[in-house]
Amino acid sequence: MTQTLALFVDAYRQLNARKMFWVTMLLSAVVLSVLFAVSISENPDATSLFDSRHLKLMFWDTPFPVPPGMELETLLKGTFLTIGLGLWLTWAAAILALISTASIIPDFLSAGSIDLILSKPIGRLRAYLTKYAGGLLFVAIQVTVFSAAAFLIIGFRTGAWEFGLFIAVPLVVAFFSYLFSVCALVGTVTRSAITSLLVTMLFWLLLFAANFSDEALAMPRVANEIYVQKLEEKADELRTSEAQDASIRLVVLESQLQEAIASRDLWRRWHGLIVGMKTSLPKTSETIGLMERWLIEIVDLPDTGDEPNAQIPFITPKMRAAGVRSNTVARRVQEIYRDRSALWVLGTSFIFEGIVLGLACIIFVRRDY
Amino acid sequence: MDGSNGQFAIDLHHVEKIYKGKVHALRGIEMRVHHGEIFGLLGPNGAGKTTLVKIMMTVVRPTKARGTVLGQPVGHKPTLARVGYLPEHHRFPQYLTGRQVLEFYAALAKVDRKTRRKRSLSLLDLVGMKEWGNKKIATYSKGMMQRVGLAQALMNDPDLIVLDEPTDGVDPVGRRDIRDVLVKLKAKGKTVFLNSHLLSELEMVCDRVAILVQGNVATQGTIEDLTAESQRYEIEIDGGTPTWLNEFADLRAESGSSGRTVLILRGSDPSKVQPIIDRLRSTNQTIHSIKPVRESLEDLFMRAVTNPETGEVFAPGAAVTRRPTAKARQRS
Repeated sequence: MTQTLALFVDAYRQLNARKMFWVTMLLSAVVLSVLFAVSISENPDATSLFDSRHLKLMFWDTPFPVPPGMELETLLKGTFLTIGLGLWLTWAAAILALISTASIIPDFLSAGSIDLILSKPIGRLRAYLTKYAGGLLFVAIQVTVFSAAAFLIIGFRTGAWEFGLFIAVPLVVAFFSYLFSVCALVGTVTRSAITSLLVTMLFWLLLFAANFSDEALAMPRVANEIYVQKLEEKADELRTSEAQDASIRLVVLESQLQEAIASRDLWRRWHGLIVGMKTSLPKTSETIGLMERWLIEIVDLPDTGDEPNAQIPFITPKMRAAGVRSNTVARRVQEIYRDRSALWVLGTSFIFEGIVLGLACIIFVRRDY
Repeated sequence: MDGSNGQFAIDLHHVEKIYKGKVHALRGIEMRVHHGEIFGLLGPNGAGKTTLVKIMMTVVRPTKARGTVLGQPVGHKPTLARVGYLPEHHRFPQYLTGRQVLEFYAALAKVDRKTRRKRSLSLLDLVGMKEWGNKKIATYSKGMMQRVGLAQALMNDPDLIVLDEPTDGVDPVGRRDIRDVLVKLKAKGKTVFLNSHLLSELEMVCDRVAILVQGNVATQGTIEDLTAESQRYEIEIDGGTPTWLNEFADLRAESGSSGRTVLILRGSDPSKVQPIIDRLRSTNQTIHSIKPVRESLEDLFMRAVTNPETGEVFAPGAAVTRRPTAKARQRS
């Protein structure tokens, strides 16, 4: 216990000595100030429902509309999720954290430093894993301070003490740990901070591409599924219809249906392939998405209704004519993501992290210094 | 064998290290270090000294190793709580102060907090760094780093202290201070294992030495024993070689400077010199000087690292060809 504690205290001192840690903390304060500033401006003289409520930042009445029925509490929680978590903690702050922590393992392994650690009565595996955990301390401290401050701001402003905000702590640490495991492996192999940082950033880009592909393919897949469903319903109607041209229309519809089924199967195959590939990779976006899933119920989300005029490229005029609506597609896609269990999201990600970290540990333990 | 009651603090057999299946760094080291002595490990660059030290400290994994360190098998981690180590070119975290460094590494050696606090102050005082204890390591000079490094190696009150080039970068005053610390440690019954290039320093403090050449122990023992063969008396006289030279066993003559002759008598027994002096007196030969001569550690070192067959110094590093063992050298 003395040894583990000493390594953690050392990790804290190491982070504390880096300017980046305090720069990130300062920027967090700037981001948090948005939660202070944001409010809803009511305009009773507005002619349309959408013009009646606007987003207000301190004294600035922005042109951004606030959906009817959205409470300040939901708005603040949404701001915390989109700006605090979505943009700050999981993008900008995560990049700063990676820059700051990329050198932790190479420094640990540097000649003259590792000799001192290994010559102490502490197992190699324990020393390495504790150092790795020490690297996660950067993000753990940042996100804990950020969540606590957000909790207090939302609590004092709305009277709603949302303890769910603290779910961000384990989720953001888990998200960062997927990337840091890659950083640690590369750092262990190459002993170079720059190389490990670059490879980790590339890996993150790969995850982003996989996630983007998943989302990009889910939309046409769902649109085609709904389209097929609509056509089948119409075909059933025609089969029971006594109208004169029913049989002719059914023939045309069935040919349309065959085409739609072929298209649906194609999209399903491609999307399945991407989802299969994603299963073996850590799911950074979905891990953070769990926060949104747990913090805001799907029913709480404002329903903006179907948008018949929305120009979405994968919804063809034929589909639109058959009754496929963009909002229905978006909602179904959201349901698909929500149907992916937390166990799948976190479990498969941790399996990946475990394998990568295990490999790093094997290399570290077997190497001569 | 119990660590504290065993005869040897370090007892190594057949220690071998082959790096990446090619470089034969150690070729079956046999070495024994007694409790309470200062032991010096010598050798040219690349002889395998640091590899051997790192094997004892579990930093490098041996290809083969039998034997014990403080009575426990080589590589036994818990034993390291009783060992202090100062590596060569050590690097302390720059963001820590000298005192924090001592306390951090002591914590890793399982020293409790109260003892750490107390010991860090007294050891900083011992190595002359009391005033600098609360300053960041980044501000230290090389010599200061060595001093703090030595204190670090003593934080767990070890039974065995392994120091790899402890005086590297230290000024003469600092070297003397470090030597004094080593002598104090010996007086307290601690065993000191010293790896250094500075032969004159080792000669001053070491009870026994071992010379490593190309991954083998070329020779080991007390400096007196190792240089016994070379001990002699040199008698400088006027004139040429005496005609009666052959009457004395182990006596030979060499021409000296200014037309003088140096008579050389092998051995360290002063009683054997007396009849020669009597004989010189009886023949009225002027005696300029009589002095006992012993091979220095440097001479011993040079002899160990020189190929007796070719008279050339062995190539540095772990050569592929096998050098003659101590036994083979004795035979030759």
